[in-house]
Amino acid sequence: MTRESRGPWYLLTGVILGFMVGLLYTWIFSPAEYVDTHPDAFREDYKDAYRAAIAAAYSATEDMTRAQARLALLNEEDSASILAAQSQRYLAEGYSYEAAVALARLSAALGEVPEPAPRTATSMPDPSETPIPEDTATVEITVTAEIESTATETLETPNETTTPEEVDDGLPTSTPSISPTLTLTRTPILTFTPLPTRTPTPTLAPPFVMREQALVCDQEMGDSLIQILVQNALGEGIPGVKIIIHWDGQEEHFFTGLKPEMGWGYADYSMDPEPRYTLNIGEGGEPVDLFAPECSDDQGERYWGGWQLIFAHP
Amino acid sequence: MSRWIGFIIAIIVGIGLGLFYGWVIDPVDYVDTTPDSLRQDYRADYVLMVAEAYQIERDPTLAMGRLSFLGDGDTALLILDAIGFAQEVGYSQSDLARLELLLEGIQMISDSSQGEAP
Repeated sequence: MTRESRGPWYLLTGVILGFMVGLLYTWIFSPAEYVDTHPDAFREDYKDAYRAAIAAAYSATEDMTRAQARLALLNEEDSASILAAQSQRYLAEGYSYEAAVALARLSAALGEVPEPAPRTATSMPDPSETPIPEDTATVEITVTAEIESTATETLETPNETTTPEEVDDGLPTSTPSISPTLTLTRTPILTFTPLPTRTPTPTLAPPFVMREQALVCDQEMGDSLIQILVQNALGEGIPGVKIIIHWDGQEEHFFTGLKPEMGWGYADYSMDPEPRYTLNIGEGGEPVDLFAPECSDDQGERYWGGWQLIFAHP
Repeated sequence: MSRWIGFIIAIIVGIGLGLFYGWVIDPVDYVDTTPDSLRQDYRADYVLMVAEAYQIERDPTLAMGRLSFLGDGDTALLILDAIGFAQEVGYSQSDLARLELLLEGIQMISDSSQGEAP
């Protein structure tokens, strides 16, 4: 084959060689900049720590607007569930009790207010008070909130814009922009005992005793559930109470308060029909023997029911 | 000779395409990043979160632990950076006060630990 008959293949070879060199350079020697990252790119364990910090800050300030704005930076679908699950994990893995409770509190409080629209400029509380950057894909999280009884102030959480003049800190003090629902829909959960004064020493308390055991026949429930409610002397749910369940030589631990939407003292466990279970609530509590009960509907069709148990200090 | 010139031009075009593909179309996708590469405004807000919690908890050791999230550098410097950024973009006075309170607490335990050192 003569040089002339080989055609322009050498050009294609050159392009391919050059392309490979270019890729080698961009992917290996000089990859895209690894600075100025966003929280949503964090590794999972760092996201956990970030959420824990948000929850700790929320516990201190009870500023839901700010907590929501911070959680939105993680760009997660259902922050309330993620926080609840993290709280459960923290308790199960022996992390700080206060951190777990803070996460659960924030999760519960999030359930009471609408989730913010994630990462859009339209999620701002009052666009008229905050200049919207020209790039509408960015997040502007400058909000005004009344956080103390007498003072109104401008709060800034991370601001995607870097030009300081775009931040308006001269807001009139007479125009709080928090939606009334934030304050009107709060439930007693937010009046929870301040964390720093809480002492997680269940061994000092008297053991829990069972106050009530009720059969639950509800086909819509699906699983055969043991629903546990642990209360203090005032009838308020107590979160973080360890529950130990034994069956057929096996053992599992879980805690109250990890489904905040069901109440702070609530926990449940899904039973299998066969084994007999023994339940211990807290330290030194009297064991309770249980098995999956049978129920039947109006047509005589049988299904597995559950139990609802209420425990309290004597 | 003209074939060599064509070949070199083809390589240059290929490099250009490779760079465009690697930097623009499919750049290295950074996931699982660590907080030390966090952008300055997010870092400042994280420090503010710690300061908010510290204002109630008053536990500088816990605050230092939380700040170590941002890296192993000088914690006081980290807070000073956050204060500088907060002043630059106009954080509220109460937020600045929280950051300064945190700085005081951290400096206090730093001073006491230096005093204990032999």
